[in-house]
Formats: sequence, structure tokens, C-alpha cells
Amino acid sequence: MRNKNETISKDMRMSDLILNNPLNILILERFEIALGFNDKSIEDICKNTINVEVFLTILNLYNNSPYSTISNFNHEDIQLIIQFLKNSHKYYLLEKYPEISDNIELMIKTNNDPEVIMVKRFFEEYKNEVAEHINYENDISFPYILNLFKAGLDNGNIKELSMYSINDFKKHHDDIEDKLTDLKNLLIKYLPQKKDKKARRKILIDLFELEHDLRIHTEIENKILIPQSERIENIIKNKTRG
Amino acid sequence: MAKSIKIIIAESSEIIKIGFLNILKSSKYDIQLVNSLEEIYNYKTNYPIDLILINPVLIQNESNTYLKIVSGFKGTKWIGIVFSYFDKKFLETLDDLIFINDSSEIINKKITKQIRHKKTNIRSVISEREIDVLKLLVEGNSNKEIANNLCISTHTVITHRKNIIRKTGIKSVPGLTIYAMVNKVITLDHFQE
Repeated sequence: MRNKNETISKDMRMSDLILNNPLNILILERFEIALGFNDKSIEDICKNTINVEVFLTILNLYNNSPYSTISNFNHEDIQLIIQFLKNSHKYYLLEKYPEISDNIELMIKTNNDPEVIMVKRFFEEYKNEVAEHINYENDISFPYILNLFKAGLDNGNIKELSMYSINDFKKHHDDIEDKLTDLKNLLIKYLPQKKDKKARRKILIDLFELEHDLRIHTEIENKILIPQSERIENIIKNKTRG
Repeated sequence: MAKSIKIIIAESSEIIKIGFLNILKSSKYDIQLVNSLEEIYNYKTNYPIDLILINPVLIQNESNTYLKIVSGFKGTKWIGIVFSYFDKKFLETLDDLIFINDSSEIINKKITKQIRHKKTNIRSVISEREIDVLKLLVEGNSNKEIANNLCISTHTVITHRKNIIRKTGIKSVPGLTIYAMVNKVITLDHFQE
């Protein structure tokens, strides 16, 4: 079997990708690739619809494997990455967070200590903060970045850009991982366990999965989206100067 | 500096009490024998009890005294000594049950299990001053307000906060609020809106 940290290359069979790490299903979903690929390679599946470089960059990030990606992403690549991030947002808000909320309800049914009820409140507040952050990215940062690439590389309207800069995105990009870690610590170390074994286990497994997912999500933003946008902002600066 | 574990055995039968003493004699517990619920209540002050082994008969018709003791003995675990019929719902309010035909091995196991999960005293984790800061923090005070309240500098408050985070592994104020509740630094009354 393939070592987990070996670089994933385009010649690999798409099916092996999932057989090696089932969580890769999530990545495929976000690239809108459906299952049932027979023995086709990654390259074959991506052909004509997805830039295989972008696909491999993100895939290798998720699998903690080394990968030296291309240095200049074009407008289409960024569109693809942003679509990926938006699909991830949908997954968090419509699927993962509600699932954890349900399991917290289940935990309360088997352990109604006031602290456990506070955990529910803690999580709901956290969820609202994340939703706010996600809406901000979807409504403000992502449209800006798309316009930026259009203006910088495809001669779009530069004037639309003046109100915002990627620096604002960086600032707003605060850490939402702390509270997840807190929740994990509370559930593992501090809250006395009653008959909530099953619900608590489910919550913890979800939290570990979500934590990894969010970490890579942030990495995509920090390692690709922000530096690439800064590159284009500089191109535009030079253009307007010249 | 491990303090010895304090256990009360509440049971009127001499045979059963002596039986328990015999089974538990190799573990160095501090064991008190009592005959009634009323006697347990007398231990309330300055004597935190880790575990109470009790014949549910003693509770059954004294539910008021029982509730009073439960709310006064926070963190104490309750194990029922069962050898006759009781309502299942009633028995479920206890942390565990020891049955009259359990082997001494099983009895020891059940007792160890309850003691193992007893909370570490918060005072062995964070200092008295850090507890003061934690309390004011989760009540919603700013660093400056905490500093004024405790007559220390804001710089010192920040140092205390850093130490609390390092020692507990919890960074956010809402997370610390739950930590403070679990450790009885604050009670739910703080949050009645």
C-alpha cells in the first residue's frame, strides 16, 4: 500500500486515492467529481474540466504530502480554488456543524449536567462566529479576489477594486481553531462522563476531522489565495503607475 | 503529596460493614462507618468525602435529607449496596451499584473506577490567585477591571491569564467558563439571564 505521505501524482488511479484515505472523498466532492471511475487515472478524470495541477496541490496538502506546485495561478485556477473553498463552506455549515449539534443534543439526553448544557451554548456561539466568518469570505473576500484576477490578468475593470485589498482579508482572517481545541479538551479532560459515551465519542471524532479540514482550508488561503492575490495586486499597481 | 481517599460506608448491618472493611483493608482508604443518612450530613463541613457506599434503604424514605446531602457533597460519588428489590429509576440516580453477591475483586474494581474519575482538585492545577482571576474573567470583567478588583497591575493579570491557558489547555473565555463550572469556581446562577 502507498505510504500516506508519498506525493500523489496524476498517474495514480482515482479509486486508490480513496482506498488509501477515505477522507479524500470530501476533496472529490468539493471538486464536484462523482464516484464510479473504474480504473481511470487522476489525469484522465480531470481532463478538460479541472486543472490537474490545482487538484494535486490541494489533494497533497490534505494528505500532508510534499508537492511543489505551480507558481502562477491564472484566473480560471483561482475560480476553481474559490469554488472548492465555497463547497467546503457549504459542507461545514450544512452538514458538519449540524451533525455535531445533533450529537451534542444526544449527549445532553444522556448527561444533563449544567456544564454539558453550557457546551451546547458554547458550540452554538462558536458556530455563529464561523458562519459570520464564512459569509464574509463568500460575500466580500472571494468576489474581490475574482475581480482582482480578472482585472490583473484579463483586463477587467480596475476601478471596482479600489475599496478593498487582500490585506483586509488577512486581518479578518482570525483564528477559529482555538475554540475547537477548547471543546476537545473539555470533552476529553474535564467534563465527567456519565452515560454519554456514544454521543461524546461521535462528537470527538467529528471534531478531529473538522479540525484537520479547517487547518488545510486556512492553509489554502494562506499559502495560495493570499500570496497569489498579492502578486496580482502588484501587477495592477505597476500597470496603473505605468 | 497524595491525600488518602475518604470513604463513608452507610449501612446498618454490622456483618456487611465488617465485610467491606475486610475487602478494602489492603487499599489505604480512610473509611468511616455510619448507620444513617443523618450521620453522613454531620461530615459535611471541612471533610470532603470522595465516595459514599450506601444501602439504598437509608435513602428511600429520607429523600429530603438525601437531596440536601447531595447538593452539599459536590463531587462525591455514590455507590449503592444492593441486596433487595429497589425501583430501577431510583437506583439509576447512583453512580454505580455493588450487589451482595459481587466478588471482592469486582467490588474493588467498582470502587477504583469511581475514584479514578474523581476530579483533580483545581487547587493542585492552578494557584489561588489564578482562581481569583479566572472567576472575575468568566464573570465578564476586562483585564483592567480584574486588575482594579484584585489590586494588581494589568500586566500581572495578563501573566495570570497566560498561566491559566498554559495549565488548562483552554484558550477562550467561554471555554474557561465551562472549565470553571466543572471545577465549581462558579455556579450556574452566574448565568441566569
